[in-house]
Amino acid sequence: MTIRAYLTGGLRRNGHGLLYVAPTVLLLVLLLYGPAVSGFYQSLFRLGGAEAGAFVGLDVYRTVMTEPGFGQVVTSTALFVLGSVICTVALGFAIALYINGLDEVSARILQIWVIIPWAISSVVGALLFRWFYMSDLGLFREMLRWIGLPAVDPMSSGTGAMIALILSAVWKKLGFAVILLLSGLKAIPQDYYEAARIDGAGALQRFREITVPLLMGPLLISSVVLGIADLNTVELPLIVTGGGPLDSTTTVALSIYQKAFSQYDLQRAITLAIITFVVNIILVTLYVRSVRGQHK
Amino acid sequence: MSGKIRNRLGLVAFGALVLVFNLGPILWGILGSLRPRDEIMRYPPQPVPSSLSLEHYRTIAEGGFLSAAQASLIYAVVTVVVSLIAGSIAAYALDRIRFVGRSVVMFLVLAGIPLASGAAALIVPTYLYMVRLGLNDTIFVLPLVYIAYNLPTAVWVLRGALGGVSRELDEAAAIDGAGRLRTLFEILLPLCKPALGAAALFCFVGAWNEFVAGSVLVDNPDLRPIQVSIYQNMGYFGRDWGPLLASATLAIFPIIIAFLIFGRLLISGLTKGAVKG
Amino acid sequence: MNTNTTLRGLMAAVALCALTPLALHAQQTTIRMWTFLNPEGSTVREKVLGKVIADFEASHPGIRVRTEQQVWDQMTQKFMAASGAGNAPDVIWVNSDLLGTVMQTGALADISAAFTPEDLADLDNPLVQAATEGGKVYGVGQSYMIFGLIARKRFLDEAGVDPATIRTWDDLDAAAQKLTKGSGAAVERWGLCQDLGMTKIDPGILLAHLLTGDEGDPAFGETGRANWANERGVAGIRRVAALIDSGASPREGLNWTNDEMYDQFSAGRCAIITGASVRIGSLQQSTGDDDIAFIPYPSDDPEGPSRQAISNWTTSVWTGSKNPEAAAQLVAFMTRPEADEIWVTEGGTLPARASTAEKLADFLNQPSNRHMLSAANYIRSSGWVPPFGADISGYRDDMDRAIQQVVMNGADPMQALKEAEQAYNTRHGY
Repeated sequence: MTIRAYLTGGLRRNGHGLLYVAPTVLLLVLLLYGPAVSGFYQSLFRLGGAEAGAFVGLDVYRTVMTEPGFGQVVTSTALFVLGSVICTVALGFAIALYINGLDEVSARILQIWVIIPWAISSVVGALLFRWFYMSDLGLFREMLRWIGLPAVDPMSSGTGAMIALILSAVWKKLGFAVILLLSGLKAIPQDYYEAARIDGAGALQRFREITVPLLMGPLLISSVVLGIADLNTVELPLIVTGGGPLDSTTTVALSIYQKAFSQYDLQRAITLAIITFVVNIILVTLYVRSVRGQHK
Repeated sequence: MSGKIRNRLGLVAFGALVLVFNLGPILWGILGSLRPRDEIMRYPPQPVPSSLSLEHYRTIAEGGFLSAAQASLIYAVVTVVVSLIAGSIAAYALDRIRFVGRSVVMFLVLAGIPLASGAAALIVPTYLYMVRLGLNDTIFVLPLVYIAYNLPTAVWVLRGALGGVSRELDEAAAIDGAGRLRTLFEILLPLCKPALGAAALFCFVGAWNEFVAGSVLVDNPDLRPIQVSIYQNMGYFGRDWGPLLASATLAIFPIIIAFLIFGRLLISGLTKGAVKG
Repeated sequence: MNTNTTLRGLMAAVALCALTPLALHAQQTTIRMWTFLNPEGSTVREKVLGKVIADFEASHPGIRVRTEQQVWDQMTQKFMAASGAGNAPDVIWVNSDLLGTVMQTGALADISAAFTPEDLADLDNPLVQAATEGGKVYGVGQSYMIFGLIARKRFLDEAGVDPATIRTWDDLDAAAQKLTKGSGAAVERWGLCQDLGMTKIDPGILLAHLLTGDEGDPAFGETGRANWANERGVAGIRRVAALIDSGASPREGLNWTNDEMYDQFSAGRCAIITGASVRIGSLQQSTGDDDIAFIPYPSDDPEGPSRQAISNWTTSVWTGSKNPEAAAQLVAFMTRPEADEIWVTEGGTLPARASTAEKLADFLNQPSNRHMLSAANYIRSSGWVPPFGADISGYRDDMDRAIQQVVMNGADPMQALKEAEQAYNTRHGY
């Protein structure tokens, strides 16, 4: 191959590649990154008030991160995200294994069944969760009464409220985790199991030595995707616990909402949103790294 | 033998428990939508309503719910179509062509997933931005925004699927004289039907359920999406539970239909694609 | 500008395929209005708005009104953003809690030309005064309300409690105890429910204590600076805590939003709640019981009730409107005597005009409407509005945080109030 042919080939390749990604890049840059960048730019100036438009740089970032209560918000967010990701993935894994052992028709019915909470809107889902499970006007606490169990109000303590909030996230996203993990299970070639069985490996051993290692990728992906979703959800803390009692379930996303719509402080709301986005990006980068590392 | 039966029973009980945990709140909500207004909130709660009626459904039908549902259906379909087309071409380039800036584009796509997920927090800057572009309160703004929110996921799923299709097919097609796009649309994509189905489902659900952008970026009542119409039942004068539950119930059906159509493809689509990383 | 056009074209091309453009019909003057009501909707107030707009268009043939319904709790903030971006509607309904902030941005136009001096005198009240500065009127009110006690008469009668005798805080305590049925986990009905959660809450007993008798020592200073850590505040928190400790008020209330509390009231779980007068209409529907009473917050003095916050939706014209006169005409039309009358009789809102209240005295005295009369009288006698232009956003959350500290953690009321006051003042930079 001559250098010239190589060059034109490269040009053509680059041209095609760029041309093909152009619509996607254009849409993302204009409509997704554009508003975010403009939000960051706006956060550098005073919004509203007497000195509107004055350059404040990163001052507000410092204020927001040193605010009293910021540490508590970070802790609650971490607890909520970790707790709900771990529970969702663990329970989702169990259900995926269960469905994987069913015949095709029941499997399909169950898949649709478990995913319905994920498919309804977050506001309505959160309202229904709170009403059904947590309120004494809902059926769950009434059912506990029927069987003679004391109807505890989960919201009477910070721990109870956090557990309720985590369960609401599990409820909402369980089906999604099931679907991702089930896809992962189906991707494991059946002959691996056959071979292991011939070698005399028991069910538990097969699970530990084939299923778990080969499912690391899907487990990791579901964790990251769920983690991102939980980190950004405002509907669940807003409706399920309202952030209380005493800020014990105020996550970063809810804090942004409160700043914007309850304290009417747009500046700090946008600033905190940008900080959250940066944390998101860090998570994604870690994820990409770890996936690459796995492939090596 | 009895151990096996016990295992089996345990499994069935586990399944039943999960299903009740899952659907309890939703069935309770649907039941509520059929109750008379003064029986929705009762203490102690009544599992069996005294009577069932469709009055709340009539109320929402008169209040513009159906036109909002129609608008959302259009938004969701446009989102699906554009995301699949633009997404599969981009996914093809990202998987098959080594071009300058590929890793940058890949990062833009991947970072787009969390950005879209947290976009509601930046709604005011987004609003001002759209006003400046002159897109605010136009028929284009919500489809465009929903495409931008869902495109990263679509690219991610489709790229995984294309990566699983052998490159020998491309070479064979090239020998036959087929161009790249023709190869993609006529040979590769038909092999990725499950992934297309999965991506379509994600885009549809994402567009159908979006609320914040829908409530801020359009003013014209004709452009209002369904979630805003549902939310309007939680107004200044209080939550109007009857119409709220009725409209939320109706909003579930298109999703279930979408699952019945694409759901079969969902698992195998993801198997071939996204979950492999 | 040119790039914008190109961009717009490009984007249109990407997504347009399935969409057909809307037909535009704009030969006449079109007035855009933002409100949280849908004039095509089915609630009584929405029907009234539809009717008023239809009447306006009939009497002003050159003007069309385009109502763009907004989500109520985002509308005012969105208006401020839209005003800055030059894209706000001609007519806007501003939540009075944000009136000061909005006026400071200069987004509201003077509409005094659309009113006669008699009109203005008839419409006068503290909230209209809050929108008036140096003879310029930046808005008039719709949908007035005041916070107070809302009670099911049926439950009061059962327990032998006469709402008219609830004059002092001690009366309220006694009534709440008497109205409570059952105790502990087996409580069937609470005497007095309060929404004391962290988000979406109404002001209640604590604010009533802080505002009452605060002459010379105002709970909110000229700028809106908080002054809560005092004896009145401590008495208020103690009152709230004692009600909960005695079991007459639910501990669950510490995490209720106002909506949660109204749902409990609808379910018959609460005999009295600390609520907003504007909600009574929908409570009549959700309880299926028309006989709901509105009772002013008592005070330490049997002669008069506590002061309490009032609010409304201030209707006004955007300074950037291209048709300010037509827009101001619409605002005036929505509060003219004929409109005010149907707002009251058909929409169940409180009269905005003194003359309407007089004219409809008989109507307001009917048993199912008497709550409106009590609320209107309470607004007149004891309604409180924040100082002109003051920003008091978020005060409810801070007050409830203090209450929760005391009830849940056993904190010292004075200390809890100090912390809440400081958090509020720091956030506002006071």
